Amino acid sequence: MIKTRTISLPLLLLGFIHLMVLSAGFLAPYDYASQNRAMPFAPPTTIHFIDSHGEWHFRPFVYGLLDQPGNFGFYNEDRKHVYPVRFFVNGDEYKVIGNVNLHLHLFGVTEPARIFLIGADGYGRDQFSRLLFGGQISLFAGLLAASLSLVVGLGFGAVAGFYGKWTDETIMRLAELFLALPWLYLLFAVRAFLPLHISPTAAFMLLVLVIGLVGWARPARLVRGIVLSAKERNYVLAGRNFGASDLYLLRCHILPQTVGVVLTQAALLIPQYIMAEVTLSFLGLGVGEPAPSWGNMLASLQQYHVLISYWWMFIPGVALIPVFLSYFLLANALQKRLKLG
Amino acid sequence: MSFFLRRIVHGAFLLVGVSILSFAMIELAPGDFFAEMRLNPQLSAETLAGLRQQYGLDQPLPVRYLHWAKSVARGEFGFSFAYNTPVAPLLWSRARNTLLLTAPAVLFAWLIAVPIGVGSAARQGKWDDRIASGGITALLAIPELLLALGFLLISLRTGYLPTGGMISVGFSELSWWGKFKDVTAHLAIPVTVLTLGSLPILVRHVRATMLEVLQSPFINAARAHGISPRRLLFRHALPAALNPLIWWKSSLVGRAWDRCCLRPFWGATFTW
Amino acid sequence: MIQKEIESLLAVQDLSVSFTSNGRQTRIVNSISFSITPGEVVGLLGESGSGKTSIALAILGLLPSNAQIESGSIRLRGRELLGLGERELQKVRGKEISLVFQEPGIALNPVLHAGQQVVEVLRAHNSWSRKRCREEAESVLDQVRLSDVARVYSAYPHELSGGQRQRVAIAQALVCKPGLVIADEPTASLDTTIQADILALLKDLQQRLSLAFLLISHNPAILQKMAQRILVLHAGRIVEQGNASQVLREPQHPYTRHLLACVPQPLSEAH
Repeated sequence: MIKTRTISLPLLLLGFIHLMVLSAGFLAPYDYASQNRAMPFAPPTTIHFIDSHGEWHFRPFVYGLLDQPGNFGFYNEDRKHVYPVRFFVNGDEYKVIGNVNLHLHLFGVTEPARIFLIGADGYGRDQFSRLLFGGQISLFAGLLAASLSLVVGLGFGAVAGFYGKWTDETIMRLAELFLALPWLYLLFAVRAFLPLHISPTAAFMLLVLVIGLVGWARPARLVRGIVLSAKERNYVLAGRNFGASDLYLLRCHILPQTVGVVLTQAALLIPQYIMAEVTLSFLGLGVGEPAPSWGNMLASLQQYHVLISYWWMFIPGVALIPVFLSYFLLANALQKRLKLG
Repeated sequence: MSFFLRRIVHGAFLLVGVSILSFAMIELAPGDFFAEMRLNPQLSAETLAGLRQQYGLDQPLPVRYLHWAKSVARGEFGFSFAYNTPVAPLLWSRARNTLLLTAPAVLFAWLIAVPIGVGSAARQGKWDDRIASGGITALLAIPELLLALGFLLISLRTGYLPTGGMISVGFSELSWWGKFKDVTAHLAIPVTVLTLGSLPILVRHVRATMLEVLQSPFINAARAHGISPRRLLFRHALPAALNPLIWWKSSLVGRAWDRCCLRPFWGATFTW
Repeated sequence: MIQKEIESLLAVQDLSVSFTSNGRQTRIVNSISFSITPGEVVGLLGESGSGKTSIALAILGLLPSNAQIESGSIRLRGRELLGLGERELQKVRGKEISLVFQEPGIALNPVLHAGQQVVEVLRAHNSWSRKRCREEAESVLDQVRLSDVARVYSAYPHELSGGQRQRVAIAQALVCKPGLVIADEPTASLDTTIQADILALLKDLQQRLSLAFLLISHNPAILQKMAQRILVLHAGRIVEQGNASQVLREPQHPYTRHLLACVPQPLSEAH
């Protein structure tokens, strides 16, 4: 009973986070690229219920912002006007599933006021919206890259373990080579030979491809180990005697045994790969502006004045913690279950 | 003995493979060192071609690789066009800095991880093990990047520690003790981040290995001979657990080294 | 009755042990009683799963955490062992009662020298100098008839043969001169010829040092060679006990008869 809870709790949390990120268009009040040049680094908007006259409003509201004189990037609230928070409002256009254009947002405030739940960046773009849209890139880059690694690793590992001899030898030497390469530099090199400004989609695909293809070696080695021991089992040998084909043996007897390891590896690889995307984007080698990723959102912290003054710029980094935590708890639980058999 | 020999030969092949692949990958990048000079109107295309020829850049990849391999054999590790000297001396000073960074980080990580891991394995499931394991998992979930940024923020806010570079201005005039203090202050943040970054994985590994060893029959046997729990833990279980851990240690040095590759970028990005 | 209790070295009374797994409690040892007098060799005969090893572990207080002692008493020279603190038990283990394990290959620490492991037992119970410990350990290794003591002393377990390892394990058990040695299938993992050697060694040591032995085995032939008295254990109960030759020749209980009938023939010609 404890076992199922330890697995389902992180799964639930992950499901929730991914769902939030996937419905970014609806949940986010603004488009990730819509700028407010007049409000760079606007702080998280305070949501009020009581106005300056001490009057209670049933509907929460926000104030507009006034520049602090002579203090760039700092603001006071303009208490003259009240802008109520409205739900299910029309706003920036976004796309869902392919090409359906929608305008409906969960919440928003009347123009010209803005609602920045977790502040704005240097271009006055809403961090909350960018966090949600950025999650689409960062989280799914990890997910896709890990799937790629696992598929390639599973394939190579199964073939190496099953056919043995020189096939095994070749693949495993290649795996060692891949494990030994200094990957960070190679990623730089690969990124360098591409034009500086490629479309965010292309950059995303490329990142996934590179990160994913780099990491096949570890899962391949693990899978190979399992296949190697599985193929010597008596029931596999018996199956072979009955004239079962290699493919059948792999599919029905051997590969099912690798499921546990593959799942555990996935839970370990995904956070690593999310971090890889974040790091690359942080260094300016990943997804480019204006498309957000949690990495390039953190990049503005490379400027000392941003680092010191605007704590909400850290939030994309903090957002990684629950994601990583869930994946690690999941990996732990899977590992424990694997050991128990 | 033949085992070591095989490992060495194996390692050599691996090194060659890695160098060839890296060479090829960098070749994939467009342009070369002189490509940027093309924009300089004072240099004609002929001059550039001449320079390329002089430095052997017009030759095919395999030839250049062999050329480079020869220079490695001479201990030069190639020639830097930018600094106009063999690479080796440039490499050594950077390797020294990297080592100054990684060696203490690895050392600290081990010094902290072994007692925590051993202790929490010895008290498996008890409250202190739970606290330690929980803390370690939490630390594992904090991205290193965030840790680095956080420490940087603290040092900027407090102003106690320098935030970039290896040494202060006027380093050469300091006494040796002053030099030591200066380098220590510069290393404090990156070493802390590196240590904290590698700590959780290390602790988890020490703990898991110790748990396995503590359940083994020979520990039971030692217990049956009346050996005290403390001695059982440190004299009997730890050496047996450390055996497989040695392999880990070596791979962790590599990881820390890899992390440090980020350091020059930190330097570059934080200097404006 | 009281007289007898004082005479006996070890007295086990009404001992019941049960294991809990998956929330279900299973009784492994069911209210058994026996005693061993100083210098006596008692054989505990039973097939695997009959609870033999649990009895041995219970006596030393080494039962795993999912096992509990439901009832009973275990007295060593009249002193109750059940309920003793871990610290007190440590002084008993290896010093007053010692254990020889089934498989010496896995009962020795792979990363410590064989001699060192004997010294470790000495150090646990004495505060002797390093030199004295070493001498003592070497003399015990010599006593268990290891031919090349100097080499064995500084060899790792994997560098020793199975027989040598078992001799080292026996040396560990004897080095503190305990009154009682519990040997749990001491020869089960060895080749037949080495089995005979080890048994001869155990018998010789037992006579020379007038040790009491609790010899646990599934093999009547082994008990026949050494034991003076035999307890037959079946499903956690002692179903028959008595003089060794009597039990083996004229078994009363059907289970004992069945067990003896299963033993290969050469046995019946012995004696």
